[in-house]
Amino acid sequence: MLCLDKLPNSEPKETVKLFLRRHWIDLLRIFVFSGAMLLVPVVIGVVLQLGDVQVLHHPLWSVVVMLALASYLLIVHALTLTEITDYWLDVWIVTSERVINTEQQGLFNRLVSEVHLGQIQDITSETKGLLETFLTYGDVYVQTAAEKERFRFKNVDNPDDVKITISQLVKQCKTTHDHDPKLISPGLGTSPTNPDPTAKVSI
Amino acid sequence: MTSFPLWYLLLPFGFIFALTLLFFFFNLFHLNRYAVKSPATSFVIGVYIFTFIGLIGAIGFYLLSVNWHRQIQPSDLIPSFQAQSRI
Repeated sequence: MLCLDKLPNSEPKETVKLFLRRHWIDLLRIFVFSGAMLLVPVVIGVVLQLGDVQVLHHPLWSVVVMLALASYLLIVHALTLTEITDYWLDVWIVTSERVINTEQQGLFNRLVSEVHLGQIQDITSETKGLLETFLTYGDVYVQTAAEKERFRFKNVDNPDDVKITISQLVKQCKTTHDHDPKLISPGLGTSPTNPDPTAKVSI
Repeated sequence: MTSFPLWYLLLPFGFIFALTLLFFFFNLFHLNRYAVKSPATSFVIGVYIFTFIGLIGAIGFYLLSVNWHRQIQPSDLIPSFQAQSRI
């Protein structure tokens, strides 16, 4: 399991500032959908009962119906568990040094990526829709100078506050790295605020 | 058409059960391997196991009540949903 106190490749004095998951509304959607699927056999049973179809009294078809119901319940259970796992494994961790994006995309697809705070150039929060506005959740986009697509924090709680927090952390990180040349990676020869590749930096 | 034992119906059910069992262990593995260590994660894993065992228990309780060696006649295939004695 991933331990927040001991993140992989963590730097000295690195602390976790934000630990984000998708908004609880996504979990509610999963349960509502599963509840609706569980209602289907109930509705079918009621319809059969109203039509006076005594299927459960038949020696063969009662077993067929019960096995079909059992299979259906197992499938609904498996699908619900898979969706909850997908929700649970989508996490975004913002530390004092970097942003870690962990997403479970389907059953056999997992994406883990991280970016140093010093590489972040743009942070955008987006709240779109009636439900999102009233429940204050939305997306936060983190863009770097790389060609890679921006990080997307999906349906996180209070995206505006998240954006502000990340902005402050980026500012702090850049300030820290400007004042401590030892923190600049050897070979780059530049600080984030000094793009001149010929500038000499003592390490 | 000759008669066949009732347990033939368990074959497709067994296949579906095997698939859902695979899904269950797959989800459990992923949570154990990739989830963030916390009491909430332990609670989610506990709910997974508890609900799956509960469901299996309920299904098993029904399966034990059926006489699977009963022979099904071709005439039984005709759905006549009148009140009949149960197995």
